[in-house]
Amino acid sequence: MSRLVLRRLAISVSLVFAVSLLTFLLQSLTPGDTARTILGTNYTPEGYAQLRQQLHLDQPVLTRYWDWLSHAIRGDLGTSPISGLGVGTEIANRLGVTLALVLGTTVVATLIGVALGVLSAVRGGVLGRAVDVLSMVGFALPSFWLALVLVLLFAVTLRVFPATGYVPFLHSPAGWAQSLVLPIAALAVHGIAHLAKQTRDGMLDVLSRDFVHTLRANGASESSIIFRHALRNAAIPVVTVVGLMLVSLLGGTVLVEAVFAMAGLGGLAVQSTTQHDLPMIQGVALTFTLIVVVVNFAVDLAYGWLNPKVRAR
Amino acid sequence: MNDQHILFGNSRRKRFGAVLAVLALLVSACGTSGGSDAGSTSGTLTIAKGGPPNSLDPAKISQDWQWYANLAYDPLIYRDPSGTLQPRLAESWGYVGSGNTVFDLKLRPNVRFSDGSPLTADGVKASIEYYRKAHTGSSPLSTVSAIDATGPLTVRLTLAKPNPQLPVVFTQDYGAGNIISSTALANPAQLANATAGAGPYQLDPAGTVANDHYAYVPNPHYWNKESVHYAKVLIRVIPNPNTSLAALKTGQVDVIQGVYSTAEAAKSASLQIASAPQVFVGLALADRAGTVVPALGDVRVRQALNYAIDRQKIANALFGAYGTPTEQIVLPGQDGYNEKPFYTYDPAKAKQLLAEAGYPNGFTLPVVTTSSANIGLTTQAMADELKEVGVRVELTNHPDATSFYKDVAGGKFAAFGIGFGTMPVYLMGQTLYLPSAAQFNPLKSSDPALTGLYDRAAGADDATRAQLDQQIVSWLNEQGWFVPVVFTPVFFFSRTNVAGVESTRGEPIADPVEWRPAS
Repeated sequence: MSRLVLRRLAISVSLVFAVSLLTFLLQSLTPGDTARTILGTNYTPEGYAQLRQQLHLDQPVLTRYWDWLSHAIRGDLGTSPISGLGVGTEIANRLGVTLALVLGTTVVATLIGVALGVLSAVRGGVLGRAVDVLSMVGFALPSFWLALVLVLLFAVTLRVFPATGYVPFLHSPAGWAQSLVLPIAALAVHGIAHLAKQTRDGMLDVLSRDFVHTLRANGASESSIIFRHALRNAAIPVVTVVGLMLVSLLGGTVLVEAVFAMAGLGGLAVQSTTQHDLPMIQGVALTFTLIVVVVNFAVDLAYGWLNPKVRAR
Repeated sequence: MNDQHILFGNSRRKRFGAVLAVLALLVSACGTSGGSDAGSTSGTLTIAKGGPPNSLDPAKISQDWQWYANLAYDPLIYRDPSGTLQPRLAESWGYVGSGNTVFDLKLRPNVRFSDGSPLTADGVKASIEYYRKAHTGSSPLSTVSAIDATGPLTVRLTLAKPNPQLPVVFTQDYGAGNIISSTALANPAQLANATAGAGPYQLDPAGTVANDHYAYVPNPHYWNKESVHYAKVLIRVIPNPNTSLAALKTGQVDVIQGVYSTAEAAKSASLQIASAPQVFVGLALADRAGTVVPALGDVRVRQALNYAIDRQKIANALFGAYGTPTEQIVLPGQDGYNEKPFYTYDPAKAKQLLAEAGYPNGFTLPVVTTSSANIGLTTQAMADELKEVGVRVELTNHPDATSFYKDVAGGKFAAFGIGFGTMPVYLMGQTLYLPSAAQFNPLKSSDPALTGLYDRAAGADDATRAQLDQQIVSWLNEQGWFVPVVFTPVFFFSRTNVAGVESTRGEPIADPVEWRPAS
């Protein structure tokens, strides 16, 4: 297990380094630059050249990357040349929103999706077919469209949830929960559909195996067979899906953030990219990469817990 | 075993209890949704804006985000909702003698900034000088040669070349008149994320989360406390127009800047709508010398393009009752407007002019445009009209404004889509049609007749300048430097609990300083 951890750590460090370099290079290749964003539509060529020099945009890309990296290693992510705000502060301000959305959606989608999948696999019949149909519908519904419909129904018409905004937990726990219900509902539908289908198929596969018949013959209770044996065996692909869902949600929240006017990292990534705000882009990319690394690490550990063969490798 | 069972049972009950607690929390949360109305009943004005400010520094803030600065900075001269100039930090002002080259300001006494420091002539001089240094665009104060504090509360500006629009330049719409505290100017970097003005409010850093919401509280030193109407003003950043409308409908916000696509929905929700035409949209025929597309070098071709456009049809189709078709770069009632029509829709005349210029089969016109500010929609509609007279428009569309302006400034395109806000004809010269207009005159078109009119108008008295401004607009139209099509509207939607949200041709941009609780 310790070898697994060490190997993963080594890969993670390389990944963080590679992503930061790639992000820097790709951003440098896109048309436009920070100086044009700051100057807007009305500027003189002399003013533009002067600002480029001030921002060191006239220096080679690798020189600028090295400058960024040498500061980042020391924990200094720099300052946005557009807003004048510290990159670390801005990310810290928005991380709570993104984590609440991503983790909340993952928990809700996992609980409901797995429950639906188990239920339909065990009961079968109409319920099983209903889960199949719901899965297809869930896959087809775009989350931003669903978000707009939910706002219209539950915020504008019924007035039971707020239409926009995020309330920090420490400011008001009730307001926090209230502000998350609609966005998480909009984001979770896709995950619920995916996980219900995955769990149902996995459970049906495991429940048809010989060892399940043996357990039943030995008098094991049905709940023990379902939860202790079948679900545990069916859980490995489910954990993979949960991990992938969590990672894809990091980028996927951006449209829902826009619909609900929540200032999360997704919106910051889009905004800083269109503004050519390189320090901010690097900071966001670094944060996303670190979250992905942590999630992958957690998924690997979960594999080990669920499957002793993995631990032995 | 029994103990284990009991423990297991307890654990189950605890988990069930926890689930119940979460559900109760959600239900109780649902029950408090009426709190979203609190903004309008607790003395708080909540406004939604489509983006965060690029900076709070009055010298650097873009006009799109002027609300963020105007709440905290009083201008020297205030343009009221009718468009009339009113005293604010300056009690009076005026040009000395003739020629518009010496301008005096008399400041209001006993004014303090939010940091407690007093308004002085030296401070105003320092603030204007800072603006001139820090402002990155082409400056409306470029011809100022000296700024002198001629007394404790009097300032004189001396100009190397005449500028007849200094009173307008010192209103809230241009930034130069938003005076900054001298104390704060000692460290101007802090102005990007803080305020130091003599306006009715000041930024509350504790209640502000940059890029999400900006909180303003009353300035304790404000000279005119009667015009402070709210205990708090909150500007929330809501980029999506549908989302901001939903927030307005549910009472989360009180005023939003709307867009045409949501105007009907706002109307049917019984919200207050204020709207005025603000930006002329059309084509700038930048290649007036015909260096990129030779056809454009012939004035008859540029006139043909103007005759080929059915402006009424495009305005109706794209903006309904809110679109104002136009042949001119100014609106009726504004400086420079000509009553006579120039280009009544006449495709036959367009074809005839093209044939006379040697292009009976038309020509190909590469045009760069952008999806932003309705420019792309309008140029697409124009391309269809121009095709009818044989002009094949090759559109290059940039979804983002930055790439678009880079192409415009590059001068590779003979024509580009343009959206340009209304302003006095003199100020338009520096940004739109003179050779010094870096952005919108990329190929440096110039004509002695135009420059002569401009120079004469700059130094003329008001009555003479009005005539000369008309001649400038007329000259631009007859020479076909632009193909204006429609004045697009600006919208402000508000709830009925707020009064004073106005948008007029004189001052299209509604100013939050004017807004107050409806009685």
